[in-house]
Amino acid sequence: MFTALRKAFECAEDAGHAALPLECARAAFRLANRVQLPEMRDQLAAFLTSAPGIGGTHGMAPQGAEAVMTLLEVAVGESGMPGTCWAAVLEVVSGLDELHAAAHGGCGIPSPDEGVSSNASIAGVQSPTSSLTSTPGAGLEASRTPPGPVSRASRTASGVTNAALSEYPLAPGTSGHMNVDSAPGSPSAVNTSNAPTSAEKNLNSAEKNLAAWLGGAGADAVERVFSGSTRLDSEEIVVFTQALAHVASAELTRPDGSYRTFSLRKLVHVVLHNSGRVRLAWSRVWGVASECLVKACAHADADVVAVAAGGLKEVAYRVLSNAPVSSDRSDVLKPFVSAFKAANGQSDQSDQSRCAIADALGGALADGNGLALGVTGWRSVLEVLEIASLDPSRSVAFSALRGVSYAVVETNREKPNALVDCDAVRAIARFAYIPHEGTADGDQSMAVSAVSPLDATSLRLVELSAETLRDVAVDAGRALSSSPYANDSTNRTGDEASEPPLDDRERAMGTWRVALASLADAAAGDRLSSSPYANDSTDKSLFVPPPPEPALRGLFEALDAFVGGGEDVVQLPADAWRVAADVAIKPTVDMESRRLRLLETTRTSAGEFLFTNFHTGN
Amino acid sequence: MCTVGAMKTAMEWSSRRARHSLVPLCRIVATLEDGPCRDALLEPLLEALPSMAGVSDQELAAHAVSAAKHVSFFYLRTGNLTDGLFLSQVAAALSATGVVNPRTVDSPVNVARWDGAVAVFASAVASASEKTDKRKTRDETAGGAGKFLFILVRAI
Repeated sequence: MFTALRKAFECAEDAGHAALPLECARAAFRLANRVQLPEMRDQLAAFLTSAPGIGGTHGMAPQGAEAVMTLLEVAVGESGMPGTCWAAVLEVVSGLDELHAAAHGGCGIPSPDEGVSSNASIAGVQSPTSSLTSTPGAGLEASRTPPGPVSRASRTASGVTNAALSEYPLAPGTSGHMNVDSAPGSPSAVNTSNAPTSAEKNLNSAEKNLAAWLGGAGADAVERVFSGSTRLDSEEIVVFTQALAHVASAELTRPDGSYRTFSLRKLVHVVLHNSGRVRLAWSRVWGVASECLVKACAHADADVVAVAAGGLKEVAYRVLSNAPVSSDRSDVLKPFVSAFKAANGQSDQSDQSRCAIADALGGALADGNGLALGVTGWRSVLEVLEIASLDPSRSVAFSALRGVSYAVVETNREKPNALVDCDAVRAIARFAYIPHEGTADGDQSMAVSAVSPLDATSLRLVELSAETLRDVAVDAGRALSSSPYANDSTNRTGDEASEPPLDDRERAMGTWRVALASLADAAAGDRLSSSPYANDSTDKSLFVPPPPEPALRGLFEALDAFVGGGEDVVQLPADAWRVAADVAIKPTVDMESRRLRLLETTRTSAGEFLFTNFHTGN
Repeated sequence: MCTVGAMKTAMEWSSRRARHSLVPLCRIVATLEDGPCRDALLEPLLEALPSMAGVSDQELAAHAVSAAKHVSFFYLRTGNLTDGLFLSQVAAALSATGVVNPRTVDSPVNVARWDGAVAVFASAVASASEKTDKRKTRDETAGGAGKFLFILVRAI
């Protein structure tokens, strides 16, 4: 049967005759799938996917267009296909995009939302202007008629109609079918205005016509393969996504070193189209897709990384925009951590790639999406911030901080419980320190004179860190001012004095303390007093202290917000002022303590020097 | 040697930060109303000013004296001179220098505050007379100290 089908297809005189064996194969495929004959099903699938001949050495056969349409119908209409079948189908779809790119100077199949001037119905039933289906409901009518050479012009299973093909303006002179039989040398319907590119010169007329169709009505048909994935059940959609991820990975690692991102983009579309599924089902889809996107983020080419990071951002933005406040949607942010780690592990990656990931994270948290995150979600964000703060490229660090800082401030103001205590403040503060791969001589925290002039990006980064800490401190101070116990515990009387302290007030006080302390640390050029590595001597050589001016400016602007008699000025409670004096003012102005610390450091260093020399005999 | 080196480094450290910290801090102190909030900020400031004012770095010394002058003037301007407590504070502060006999005061915070102010004054005078030969520093420091002394004497 396979031989007969193949022979009938190869010998078909025109599209109508080619459709017969294709329809037969499709029907047999459906039957084999239903009665669970996997071997037969796979052979039929192999026939259907090889029939178009996309990417073949001799080019596509004239009847290949019919095979393409049949295959797209299979992709849209069939269900229960195994992963191997899906992979084969999606490889052909990927080949269609490549064909379109070859015919259009590298431009892939346009997405329908990019303004495709299609005369085919977006709904995908039939072309409303088709001369063959001119009456309403004709599409439905046609779907009931048995498939055959005559009825093919109006079949409607997937919306891939010959009518749509026939009405494509670049295929003149045909009667309801694409001009697959145009002889070589005949006036090309493709690219009439510009000289053909070298890639286009290699296309035969059938391929050029198919490419032209893909640029119009065909784009809808291709897109429907992915948007139609919503009809698949919970298991099938995972299989479909796995197959698409497989094809996307193959596009990125082609033997000739080139790459394409068509399937990678479609992978994101599939995730977005299926975002309405129950969370458990969607999470499995996202797990497969995100793994592929994370791998793509480690690609050597910055354009690929930009696409992958953009996909991560799109999904995260969509999910967080629709999520309730403080819901645990860390699943959409964890891939950013993996992506950043993967990108950092690639020595041949440019800074631009890591900037793209950092920007994507900021984009995902834009428009108040940070409020939708719970503690777990923020933990992922802070992990990215920590990695970015250590990045040797200040541009990467700046991108990360720029994107996330506003979300941190906004969340701290509106929903402080969502943040990971004061870790967000500490993460922001780390950006004030410039990674340095110098020697470990001396104590870097005291090496004021060792500060070299910063480049503009580093200086802006220090300023942005200080400004963010300032904003966090001001918001925390305002929260303290509006607290029922604004005048601190010593002023409580009666029943109030016996009440336990409010969690919110303690949290606000903690944030106020850490923000000011971080500013003071940065201004003093010390290690972050609250950081995990504050006392880790092995880490001291990794950073050079920042210039003090931005931190001092931020510190006193934060305090200045609570003095004066303006209407918008709130009164900071006394205990908050005492905290400010202890953690910020005293370390900033106390030169005597600094002298004693320096003296102690010098003595320790001298003692170690003598001890070492004594033992080594020098 | 170690002490000298540490002092020099500490001086450089403070010098780089003096202008950007003392000026806004004095402005905030001047704006705050009298009470525990202002006291909280004044304590570390007045504790730190003596060592700052006593250094040979002309800019740092000038900033320290200016800050002390500003704070002291502000206190005397806003303080109630008819208040016996205020006078006792001044007297207690000056007692450290041997000018007047000590009196009992009931506010340790205020004693510390005025002790700090007086220490600034003493340190500034010493700096002007011994530690530097730069004319500008000597003039600024001595000028600031003189004004401060004038204010104190007038207050008493």
